[in-house]
Amino acid sequence: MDQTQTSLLWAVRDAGNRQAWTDFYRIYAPLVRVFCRRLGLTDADADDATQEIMMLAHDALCRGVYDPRKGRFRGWLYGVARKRALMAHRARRRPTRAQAVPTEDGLDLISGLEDKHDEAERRIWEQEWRYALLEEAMRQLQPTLPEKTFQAFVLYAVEQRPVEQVAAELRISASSVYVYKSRVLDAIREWTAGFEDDEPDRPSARIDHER
Amino acid sequence: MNGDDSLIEDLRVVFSRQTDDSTRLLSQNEALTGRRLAHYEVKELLGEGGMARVYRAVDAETPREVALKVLKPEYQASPDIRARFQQEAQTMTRVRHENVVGIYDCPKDERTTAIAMELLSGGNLRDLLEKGRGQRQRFSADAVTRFALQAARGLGAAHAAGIVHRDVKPTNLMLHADGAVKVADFGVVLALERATWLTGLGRQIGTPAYMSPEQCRGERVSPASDVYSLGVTMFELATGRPPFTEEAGSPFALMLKHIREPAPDPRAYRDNLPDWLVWVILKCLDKDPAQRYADGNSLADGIVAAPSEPNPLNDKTDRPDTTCRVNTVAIREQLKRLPQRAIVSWACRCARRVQHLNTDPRLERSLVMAESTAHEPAAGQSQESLTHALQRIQQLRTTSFKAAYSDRTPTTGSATSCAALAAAGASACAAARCAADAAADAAFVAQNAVAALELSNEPVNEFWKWAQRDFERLLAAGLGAEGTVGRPVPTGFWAEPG
Repeated sequence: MDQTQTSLLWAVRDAGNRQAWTDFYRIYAPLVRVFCRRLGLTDADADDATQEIMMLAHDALCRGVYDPRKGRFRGWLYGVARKRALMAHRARRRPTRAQAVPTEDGLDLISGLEDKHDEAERRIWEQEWRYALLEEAMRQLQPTLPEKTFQAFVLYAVEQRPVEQVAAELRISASSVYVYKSRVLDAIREWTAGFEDDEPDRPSARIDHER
Repeated sequence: MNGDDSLIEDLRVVFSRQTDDSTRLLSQNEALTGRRLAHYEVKELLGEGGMARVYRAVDAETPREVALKVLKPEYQASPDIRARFQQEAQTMTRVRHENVVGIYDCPKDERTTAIAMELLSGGNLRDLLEKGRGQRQRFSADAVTRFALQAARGLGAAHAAGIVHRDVKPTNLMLHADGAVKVADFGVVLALERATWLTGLGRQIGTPAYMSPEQCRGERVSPASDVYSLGVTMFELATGRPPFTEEAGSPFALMLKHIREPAPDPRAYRDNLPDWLVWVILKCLDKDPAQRYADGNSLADGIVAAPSEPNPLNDKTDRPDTTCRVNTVAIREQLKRLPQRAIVSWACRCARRVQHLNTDPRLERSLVMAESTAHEPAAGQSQESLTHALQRIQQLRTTSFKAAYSDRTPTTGSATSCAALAAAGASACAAARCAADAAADAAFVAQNAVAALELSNEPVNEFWKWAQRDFERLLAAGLGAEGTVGRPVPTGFWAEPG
């Protein structure tokens, strides 16, 4: 996919472009869902919230509710997701023990949600955004890389197997393993760079027109 | 930690999550091919929808081939969805009908839940539609009727068992090798709908083109919702396109159309359809579930009995050569030579000529609103007030349609209904976004005005000559270029010459 965040956000506005929506959903829905889970929502509540938030996001992009002049899309989505998680929390009022899952970060985020200081949530959001981006990068890059390059990278870098073992298993030299690792890392960096800047750069008049 | 290390650290999290269903929604390459699930040997992937994949499999116990529908991993992850998926499949095993895809059983293991069902080799109606489109062919009215009748019977069997399909569309109407239609995907979608309808937007459901107004509003559905969706399918089979399309910008705009806009007359897209079929389709597409056929069986009965039903467009009891003389396609093409305001003006004039046949005050309001758009200078209206006016016109149009369809008393009701439909069409013209749409609506007005006059034994030819003279006058007035909104029709334009 030769796509940047900017082009994806624009493509989603074109209602006939289903592929764009599928790509968009694949990247953002897991991000939103995991974010909601990490904020302490139950599986079912997180599913519901994700559906609603994605619906809002789609509508916001298509109808120009989201105003790129006021900031990044990712930031906008964060605001919406946080608010929706808060609403889910309010709807539950007093969560039972089972519902108030302690987060892996050891924070009682749910009860702290109404607090205006949302630094912890923002940190989680940015971290999850990074993971979502990397997952998509791997998905997109894997088919474009030679099989051995990718395997060497996974075995050596991700699974931390000894370089000799990887080299022997793939019948390549140890130096190739190092080369492949840095090649894949470079490719990932290059790919994700296109997604870091997510502000649509078209004139905002277009959005007003579409409204 | 340097840049490489932190990137690799993040990648480890990503990879570890790929094997942890609790944190991911989507997975890749989860193919079952070659595996065994209970007593089924999975052979090959046949297709993939929004929520499930379908494999060809062989039942080792009774060596028959089956279609194995397997919930995607992202949905397997939820015990709740899995349980409902199975429960619904179990319910469906109770429905045995020749027009319903048979369900054999629900094999599962610790990771995978599936449904084994009848394997059909004839493709589905979507495939047929696409094939027809490629060859520029459309189904005959007979074929549409045959498909619809079988689908309605299949749905009827499920409705009788208390099951609503909720996702009736050409893709879910499968074809047996012998040509029989079988309704598929019963109950399965139903179990998952709440959690996944949006996922469906980009995938299996693809477009809410077939959703009933109540589904679009997120309300409770009934068998009549399936009737609506089957009506949309019939419309598409008959004309090659669904009644509402996504051109307005987003799937949500399309859903709003289902909620607000009256269904267009299928003859606007294909003029040689039998009136009774048009009437059946439009009855299925009524916004009000109570006005549709109540369920699949009623629709099937309606299709069988349709030619003798009271029909506002087809009440030919003692006048054999009446309504079909209006060639809507030809009128539409002619009207396209006018700018939109002129078309609106013409349509309103036609509607006015038959208004005395239905004195419902709502129709007067509808026409006054519509006429105002033909006469008002564009500069005098802000965008906001124009939008507001159009919204009101749309509401009035719905009212006019209701007025048309609420009066179904045989014979006496027909002319009244046609008059109301003419007014509805006139306001539709005014609210249309472009001259081409307005022309189609205006042709609909003419058709209904003619029908209304004929049914009341009033002279049609005189009306028609007069309408043509109006058309010529508008053309001569040169109110704007082709395909544009055009200049306002001057006040007093229609005053008859001294």
